[in-house]
Amino acid sequence: MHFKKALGVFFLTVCAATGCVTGDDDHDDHDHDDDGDHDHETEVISRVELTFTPTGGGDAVTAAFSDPDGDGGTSGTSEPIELTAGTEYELTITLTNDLEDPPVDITEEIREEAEEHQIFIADDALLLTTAYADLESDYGSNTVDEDLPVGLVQTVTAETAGTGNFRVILRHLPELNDSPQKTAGLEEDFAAGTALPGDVDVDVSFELTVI
Amino acid sequence: MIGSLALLAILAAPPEAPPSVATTEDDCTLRWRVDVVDEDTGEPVPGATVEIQPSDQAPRRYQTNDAGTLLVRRLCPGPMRVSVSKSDHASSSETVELDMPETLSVVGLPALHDHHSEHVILIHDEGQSTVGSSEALAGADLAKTRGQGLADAISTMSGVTTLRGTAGGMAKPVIRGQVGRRNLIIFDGIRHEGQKWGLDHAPEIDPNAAGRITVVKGAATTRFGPDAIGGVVLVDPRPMLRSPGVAGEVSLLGMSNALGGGGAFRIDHAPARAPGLSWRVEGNIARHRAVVTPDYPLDNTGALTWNAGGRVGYLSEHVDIIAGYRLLRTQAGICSCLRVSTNEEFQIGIARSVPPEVDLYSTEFAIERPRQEVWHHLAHAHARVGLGEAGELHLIYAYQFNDRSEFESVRSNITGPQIELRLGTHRGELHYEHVAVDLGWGWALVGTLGGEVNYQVNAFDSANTLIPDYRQWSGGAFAVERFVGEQIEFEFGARYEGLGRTGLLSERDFLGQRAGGRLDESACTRDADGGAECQQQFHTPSASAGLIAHPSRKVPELNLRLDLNSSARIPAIDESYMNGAAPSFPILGLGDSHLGVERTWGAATGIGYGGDWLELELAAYTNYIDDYIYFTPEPQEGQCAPLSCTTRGPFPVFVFRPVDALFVGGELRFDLRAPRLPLELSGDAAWVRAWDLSPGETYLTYVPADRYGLHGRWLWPDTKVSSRGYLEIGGTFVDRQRRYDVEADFAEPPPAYVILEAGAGVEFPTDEVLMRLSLRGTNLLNQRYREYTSLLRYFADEPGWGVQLRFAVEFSAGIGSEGSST
Repeated sequence: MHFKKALGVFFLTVCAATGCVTGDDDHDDHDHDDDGDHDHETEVISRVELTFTPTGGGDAVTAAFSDPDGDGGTSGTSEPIELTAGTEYELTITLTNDLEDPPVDITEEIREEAEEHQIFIADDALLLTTAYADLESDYGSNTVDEDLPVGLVQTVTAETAGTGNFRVILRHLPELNDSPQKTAGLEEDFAAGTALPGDVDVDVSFELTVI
Repeated sequence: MIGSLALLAILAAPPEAPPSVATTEDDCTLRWRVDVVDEDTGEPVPGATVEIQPSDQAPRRYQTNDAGTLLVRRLCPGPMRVSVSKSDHASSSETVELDMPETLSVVGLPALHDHHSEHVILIHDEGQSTVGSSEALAGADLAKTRGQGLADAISTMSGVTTLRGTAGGMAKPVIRGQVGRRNLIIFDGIRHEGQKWGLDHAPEIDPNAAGRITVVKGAATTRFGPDAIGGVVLVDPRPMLRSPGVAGEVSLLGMSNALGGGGAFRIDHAPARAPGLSWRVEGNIARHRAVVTPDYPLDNTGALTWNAGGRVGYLSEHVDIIAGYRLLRTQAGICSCLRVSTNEEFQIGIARSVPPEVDLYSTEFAIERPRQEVWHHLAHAHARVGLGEAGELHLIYAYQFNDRSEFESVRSNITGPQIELRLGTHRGELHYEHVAVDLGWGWALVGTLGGEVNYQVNAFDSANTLIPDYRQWSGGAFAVERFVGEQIEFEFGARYEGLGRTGLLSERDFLGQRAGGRLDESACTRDADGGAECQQQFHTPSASAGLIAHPSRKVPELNLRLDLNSSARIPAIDESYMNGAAPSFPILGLGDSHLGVERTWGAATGIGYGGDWLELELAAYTNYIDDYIYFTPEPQEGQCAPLSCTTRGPFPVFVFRPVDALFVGGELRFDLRAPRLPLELSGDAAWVRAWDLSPGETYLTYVPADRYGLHGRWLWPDTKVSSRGYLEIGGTFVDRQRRYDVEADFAEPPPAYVILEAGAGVEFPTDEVLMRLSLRGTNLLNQRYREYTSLLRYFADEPGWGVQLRFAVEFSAGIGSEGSST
């Protein structure tokens, strides 16, 4: 905050009574508080990276969605995914906040709170079969409800050649009034087009080609 | 001040008059004359409402004439209850014993406005003397709203509605279809400064501190400054004690929906040993749990609010000096129903009309994430200096610090807020009210000249961009003069306003805005961090002309008003530099620093009638707004065209764009009192039409739908201990908003609805204590409805039925030799 020093006494009186937040008192020091260069409580994910590793061996296929200005007006972009029909892949998903310097690995935070998060995948042209390949207990002790999938690791099999859209949704499902919102069967609800509980942390789409 | 409401019955009858004992028809020839005066200045109070209830007869109501006098004939002997009220004064009740052919009474009403020299005539006071339309709440009517937020308290006025947020009890007033940055709220003469751009940021004003709330409808920029386009809400605390005494108020509130309650107190003291010294301490607290709709609770809408304040002053005939400090604290949960979902789910939610996880919702008191927490500090100093025959000078200095934290629903390892906004504002104001100048031929000139200067610093703290840090200077100078004739008054006003703002953009913010072509780069200087300092300067005039006429000498209760104005509004910080996701909504909002001044060309007219059995106000207005800054969707290029890709899904992009807009509307309000029957009927209606005049465009969004209210009231007879008792039932019909632009909104407007309410209240006055008790029931049919101007409408229903019980004790006592109690 900036305040005229001459009026500072008035302000100090106010703050002494209430303990309000104060800051630097210097006009010429531009404190661009919104540039993330300090220890602020962040919740931002600006990059989603998909790595498809063929389970039978071979080069991994990677594709990333990146929105380098966060919620600014510039649209984010995603790279296309190209998979080979008849191949089974292990898909790992990593999430990063690279608006911070150095970038923050959000995947680790999701692992720590595996019981409150779940990733859903939609493949609108039905070119793939996907299956969860991880459980909450893989990332720590499972204390709430059943041991449900998280989705940071999935098994993806490219079945049919064609093009389509590959959509990845990360859902934050914190407990609501001491009842878990993350319950068994949410993936079926999602596939059926039912509105899911919780908040969207990630919802990104990639062009998919299966050759 | 109740004790000083004394009504002095003075015997003015010839001594030989025979005493009356029997009350036959023949005896009912007595006359009663009352002079109503301002207790502060001794000036007569014209237009005061005098209700009389002779024994065994129905109450009747009259108004005092221009000389503040009323004469009632053909009264029977015996005791008669009298209550006198005027909107900017505290009311008074007393019993008069009629036993002489003519009885004369003098009623002194304590003023609810600031002290002024008797030489000065106030221009922008409330009542029939304004050229614009205005309405005020004070006394019992204000007491009925205790415990509600400011917007809800004034929403009973015609032409005023609320824009409701999704947090517990939070709402912003909508005046004549304008919301937020196009309305001005003035607390104790000080322009309120908060983060008013946020749709879900309720104004941080404590209505409990008000002795009177006035809404000036329509543009009033020449007197109050830019932003006063839709209207001005004047929240005036009760004046401090001017003569030795103690006064105060203690009130309690209990409510069923949301379940909770609160209490408030105020103590005023003017010690007899230190003439002129006066002080006040006040405070209140309210706590409630989540609100319940007819079918389910609005999870996490509990709230806690408290306020504390004090002021001390030296008050004398020629000089008043007052200094004070107030603190407001609010913690309000935001409904769990408001969440970031995918676009499809957002639409499913609207179609389904019930939140998906509703089975888990509870009414608990706990305030969880998401929530808002606000501290608002106000330190102020006022001075009034009488300049004798020259007039009066008023000086105000105020410092406000608005400290807002918003906590989103986040991963549990995060403990702090996601958005912090800190706004500090210094304000200095000087205005001079000159004495009435006699111009001859029955004309006088009165007026006010003034100037003000503001310095404001905003600090924004979040991981994402939204609003930049900024610092700004602004200042204005104005003159409002009125030519007062016998039957007509003309008012002319002019104002200059200037503003210089430095936006401090971070590198990411600067690069993003520059890439979008929305930044006036020539006004920006890059700094070493890669960010930029961007300058804006605005200089703009406003002017107004108006008249108020009493066209008929035979019907002095009738008045006609006309007001013409050209009002300038300077773009707000968000309109210039917003760059980010609008809180709570899946959209990206972008400002544009090229935007210039928005100019309103307005005309308003009104008819008022204030007779014995009918009060009527009819107003109509039209505002053409040149370069109206409008938040509209803009198609995007890129992978997610026409939307913009974000990690949380494709979001529509809304930009601030200048369009030409037209607002046309009207209001009607009436209060009908059956002659000689204890029945009243009051009604109100408001209409607003608003068009975007750009080619191919239609209606503006968030314009309130047509609204009609009707209330019937039975006034029960006064007893020895009670007065002003009433039983009331009424309903409000709000039509569906049929004029909307579906492209500029997320959902179609909700259907029309009717809600029913009822209330009862009574006062128990004594010389020194006034007790008020009232019970009010809202949405009594437990109607499920959604409000077009509520952000909740996309997610959940509005609250179901509830009752509120209010009890208040006002007391006052004079002390020392100059005691004001009689």
